[in-house]
Amino acid sequence: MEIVITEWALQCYLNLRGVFTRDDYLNTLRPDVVLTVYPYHSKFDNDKFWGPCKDKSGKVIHQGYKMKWHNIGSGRIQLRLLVVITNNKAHLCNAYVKDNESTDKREMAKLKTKIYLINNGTFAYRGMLI
Amino acid sequence: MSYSQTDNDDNNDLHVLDILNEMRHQGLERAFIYSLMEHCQCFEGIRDLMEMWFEAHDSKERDKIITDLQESLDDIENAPQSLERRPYLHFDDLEKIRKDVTSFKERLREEVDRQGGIGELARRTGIPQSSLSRLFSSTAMPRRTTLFKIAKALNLPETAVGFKWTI
Repeated sequence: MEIVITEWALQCYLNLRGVFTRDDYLNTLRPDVVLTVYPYHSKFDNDKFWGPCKDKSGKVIHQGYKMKWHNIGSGRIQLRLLVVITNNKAHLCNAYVKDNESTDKREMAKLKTKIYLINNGTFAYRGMLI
Repeated sequence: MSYSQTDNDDNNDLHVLDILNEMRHQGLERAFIYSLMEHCQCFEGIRDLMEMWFEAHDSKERDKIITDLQESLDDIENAPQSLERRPYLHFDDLEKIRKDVTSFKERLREEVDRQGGIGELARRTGIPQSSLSRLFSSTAMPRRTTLFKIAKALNLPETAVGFKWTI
């Protein structure tokens, strides 16, 4: 499965200054994201690491998935990366700090629009992760 | 082909109208509300955010939702016509880009403040104040279309907001 870096993902990385270090990125985040190339790795059975996205009503968002890190950076924050899986590709979308449930719900709502644009083929991307 | 509007559809439409009316009553920009009207029927995520705004009681939370709505509207209205590949940027280049973006936004913000501040800019551009605040406080690349709106509102030539790192 190819891993697509969408423009949304890049902009989020730019905006997450100070949230995680270069070491966090190289030694934790990137290796985990690369696992989506092989979606049957056992890590994906752990719902604290990976799971379907659900909207504010608790309904599963088709094609939307969430990768989770619970203690990243010196602030030991919860980081989330939203991934849209379609056409045998994992599209990396928004990344954010989960500071409360409301933030999560808003991100899920925004993800629905991104899923539409991805399926419509009307989005920008910055290349493939690998 | 016939279309039948169910009672549930009617209730949903009325609820959307209630939300849009409340937004107008709260002083949100007309252009913003019109954009929501245009897109809320086709985009479930837009409707979700509108409902969250309506149900929120905290003004800070409402501001965040408005900013997210503007972000989604920007995604829709500025989507490329087809799949678009942009240059790959290495992780190690991002810090330099952040600094360039911050410096550019600081200079632009000085001009905004000279001409009445963020509130006045919101009035002139139709972009919600909370979105403009997020634009200037974030280190993400600004959208060209947003910069052009700001340039027009500030009576600046487009070249004044020309910047390498835009999307």
